[in-house]
Amino acid sequence: MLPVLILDQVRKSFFDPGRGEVRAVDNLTLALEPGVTALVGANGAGKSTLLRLMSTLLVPDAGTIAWDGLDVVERPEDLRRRLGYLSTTTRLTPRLTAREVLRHIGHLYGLDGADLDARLAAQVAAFGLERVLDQRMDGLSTGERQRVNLARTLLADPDLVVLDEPATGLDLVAAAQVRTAVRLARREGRLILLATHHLDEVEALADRLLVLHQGRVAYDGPPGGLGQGEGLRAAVLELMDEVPHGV
Amino acid sequence: MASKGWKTVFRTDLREVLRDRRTLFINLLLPVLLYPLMTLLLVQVSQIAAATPRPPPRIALVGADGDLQRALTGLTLVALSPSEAKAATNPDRAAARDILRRHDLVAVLSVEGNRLEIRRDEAHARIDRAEEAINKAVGQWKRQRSEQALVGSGLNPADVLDPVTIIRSGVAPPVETIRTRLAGIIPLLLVVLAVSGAMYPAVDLLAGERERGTLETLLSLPVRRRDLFLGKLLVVLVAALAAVLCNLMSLGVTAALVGSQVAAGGLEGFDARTLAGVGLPTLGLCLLLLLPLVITIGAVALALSAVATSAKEAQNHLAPLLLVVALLGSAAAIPDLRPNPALDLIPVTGATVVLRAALENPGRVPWGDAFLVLVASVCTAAVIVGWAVRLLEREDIRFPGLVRAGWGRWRTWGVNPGPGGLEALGLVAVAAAGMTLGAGLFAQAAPATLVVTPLILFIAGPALLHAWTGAYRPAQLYWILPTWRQAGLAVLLSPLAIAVTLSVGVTQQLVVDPVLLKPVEEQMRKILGDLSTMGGLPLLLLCTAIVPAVCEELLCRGPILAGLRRALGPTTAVIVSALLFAALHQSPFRFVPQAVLGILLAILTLRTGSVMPAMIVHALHNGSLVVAETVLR
Repeated sequence: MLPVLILDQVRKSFFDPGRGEVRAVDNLTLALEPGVTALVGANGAGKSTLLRLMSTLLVPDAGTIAWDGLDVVERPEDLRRRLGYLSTTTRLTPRLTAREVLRHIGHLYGLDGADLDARLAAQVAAFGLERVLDQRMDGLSTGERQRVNLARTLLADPDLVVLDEPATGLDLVAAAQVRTAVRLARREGRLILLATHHLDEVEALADRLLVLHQGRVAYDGPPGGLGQGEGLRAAVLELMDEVPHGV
Repeated sequence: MASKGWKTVFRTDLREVLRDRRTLFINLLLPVLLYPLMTLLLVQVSQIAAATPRPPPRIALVGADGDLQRALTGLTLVALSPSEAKAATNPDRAAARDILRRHDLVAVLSVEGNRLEIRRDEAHARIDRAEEAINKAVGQWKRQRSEQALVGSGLNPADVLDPVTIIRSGVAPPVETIRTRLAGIIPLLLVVLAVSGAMYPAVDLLAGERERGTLETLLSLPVRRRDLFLGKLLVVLVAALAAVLCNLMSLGVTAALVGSQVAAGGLEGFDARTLAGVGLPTLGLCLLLLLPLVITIGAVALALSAVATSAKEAQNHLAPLLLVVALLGSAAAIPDLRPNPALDLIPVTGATVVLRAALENPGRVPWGDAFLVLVASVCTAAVIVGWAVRLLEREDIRFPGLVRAGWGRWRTWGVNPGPGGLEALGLVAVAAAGMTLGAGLFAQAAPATLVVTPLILFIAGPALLHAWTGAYRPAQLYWILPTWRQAGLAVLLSPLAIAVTLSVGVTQQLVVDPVLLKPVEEQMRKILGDLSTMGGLPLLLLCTAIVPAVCEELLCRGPILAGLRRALGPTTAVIVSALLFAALHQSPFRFVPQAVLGILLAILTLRTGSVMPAMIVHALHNGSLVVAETVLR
C-alpha cells in the first residue's frame, strides 16, 4: 500500500524556562499508509506534538510533512478539509445543541443542504445520538459529549483521522463505545492515527505500532512484533525506559 | 468555502453569545436598566433624606450680640462656661479643638466690638450646612451694622450699599446650555461604553474558548485562521455597538422622563431633544468617527484575549485597556480644548475632542479636523485589525502555554520575523508626539536648528532606536544600498514626482480658499528666507531637502512601511503608510500632496527593496521646489 502521510526529518522544539530547549519531536522520518496506526509513549514522549504537527496545528521547526504529495505546512487548509482531529483537549461549544454543533462544523467543511442532512443522519445513527441531538452540550454526560465529538470528527468523512487518547476519562461503557467507533471508522484509503496508553486497544485495533521515546521512534512495526498481552506491555515499558513495579 | 468561513463563525458565535446570560446581562439588560434604576435610586435617596429630620449643626456664640444671635437661624446655639469660652477662643488650637469636640460643636463665634472670629472644626460632618448658615447670618449682621453706621452719618444706606443694580439673564435656549455641558461627557461615555461592551464577549470568544478546549477544535477545522478571528471580531463589534446603543437609548429615555418632570418645575426644553437637536450631519459624524474607534477597540480587546492563557488572565489584560481609553478620551472633558492637527492624530483623544466640538456647536463642525481624525482612525483600525486577524496564524498565540517568543534584542526563541504593524503604529505615535513637542521646544531656536533638530531627534531617532531594540537586519527595514540602475531610475523618476505633487498642490489651491493657505505659505517663506540669508543655497538644500529626505525615508519607508506590509499586505501598506506620512506633517493643507508623494515613494521602495531611491526622489523633489520658491522667485 502506498504511504499517504510522509514525514521527513521533522523536528519540533519548545522553550521551557526551567529546562531550556526541549525537543518534543526529534528528526523524525516516517511513511504512514492507510489503516490504524497506534502511538504509544510516556507522557511527554512527543505523541500529542507529533499528532498536532500532522494536523497542521503546529508547524515543524525543520523537515517536511506531506499528505498525498502536498506540503501541509505550505497548504494547511488542503489537509484540514480532509482531516478529523480529536484530542483530550478538543471540546465542543457548550451553549449549542448537539445538532447545532454538528451542522456548524458541517458548514465549515463546506457541507450544506441534503448532503449535510444525510451525513448528519448517518453519524447520529452510528453513535446513537437520537436522544441527545437537541440537547445543549453542557447538559450532556462526558460519554455523550465524547460520542458527539467523535461524530463531528467523522462527519465530513475525512481521509486522515487523528485521535489523541479518545477514551481518556471515560467510563467502561463509553470507552468500549469509542473503541467500537474506531473499528467502524476503518475504511479503504483512510489513515487513523490513535494515541493511547491502553495496550489492549492497540492489540484490538492497530495494524501498526509506533513507540515514541523522547521525541524519537523507539519501535515501528506490527503490535504483535513485540509480543502479546503482558509480553507486549513489558516490551513497551522497556522501550519507554520504564521498569514496571515488581520486576 | 474559505471566503464564507467568517460568516459561519460569526453566525454560530453570535448565537452562542446570545445564549450566554452573563453577556446578555452586561451588554443589553444592564445598560437598559442602569439609568432608570440609578435615577429611581437617587430620587428615593433624596426623598428619604428630605423626610429624615436632620439635627441642626451646633455652634457656640461667645460675647453675645443680639443682632447676630437673631440672624443665626437653622443652628443650635450652645452655651459655654466662661472657662470653656476662653479655651475655645484661645490661640492654642488643640485646646480649642477639645472644647468644640466635647460639645459636638461645628464652630465657635466670638464677637468683640467690631471684630468677629470664627473657629471651625473643618473635619465635622455638618461643616457645609453650618458654614452656609453662618455666612448668611454674618452677611445679614454686617449689613445691619453698615446700615446703622450710614444712617448715623446721615446717608441713605440703599444709595451706598446698592449703588448699582445688576440684572443677569441668559439668551441661550436651555436645550443648548445642557447640550454644551453634556458635550464634554458624552464622547468619553461613548468610548468607555464601547470598551466595556467589547470586554466580556472578547474574553469569552478567545480566552474562554481556549479554556473550554473549543478553540483547538476550531483550529483543526478547514477555516482560515484570519476568518476565524474576523468572525469573532464581528461578534465583539455587534456586542459593543449594542451596548453603546442600549446605553444611549436608556440615557435618552431616562432624560426625557426626568426632563418632562423637571420641565413642569420650570426648566423648559430639557428633554430628549437635548441630544436629538444636534442635527443629522452631527449625528452622522458621531457614528462615522465612532465606528473605526469601536473596530479598533474590539480588535485590541480580542487580541488581548488571544494572547491570554485563561479567561482570568484575559480580564487582567483588558482592565488596563479600559483605563487607557478612559484617559485618552477624558481629554474631551478639558475645558476650552479645541481640535488641532496634533490632537487629531492621537487615537481616541482626537475623536472625542472633535465630537465634543461638534456636539457643542452643531452649526460649526470642525470638518477639517474631523477628516484628519477619520483618516487617522481608519488607518489605526486598518493596522490594528490587519495585525490582529493574523494573530491566530502565530503558533505562540495558538498555544501560548507551549511556545514562547521574545522580542527583538531580548529574543531568546524563534526566528525574527521583522517589524509588525503595531510597531509601525507605535513609531508613528512616537514621531507625532515628538514633532508636536519639538515644535514647542525649538520654537525660539535658529532656523536651521528649528528645521533639522526635530527631524533628527523625533523622526530618524525613533527609527534607529527601534531597529536596534528589535535587532532587525537592515534588509528587513529596506535600509540597504540600491543598485546603480535603481539609483539612476530614482533620478529619472524625480521630475514625475515633482509634476504629480505640483499638479495636486495647484488643484488644491483652486479648491481651498487662498486666505486659509496664506499663513502657511508665509511661514514657509519666512523659514526659507532665514535659511537662505544664513547659509545660502547649500544650507537651504541641506535643511529642507537632504536632512528631511534621509530622516523621513528612514522612518516612513523603513520600519513603518515594512511593518505595515507584514500586517496588511503590500497594496494597503502603500496607502496607509502614505496617509500616515502625510499626517505626520501635521498640516491639513499639505496633506493631499504629501499623501500622493508618499504613495509614489512607497511603491518605489517596495519595487527596489531599498529606501535609498526614495531618499533620492524625495531630496530632488524638495530641493527643486525650494530652489523654485527662493532662487527663481
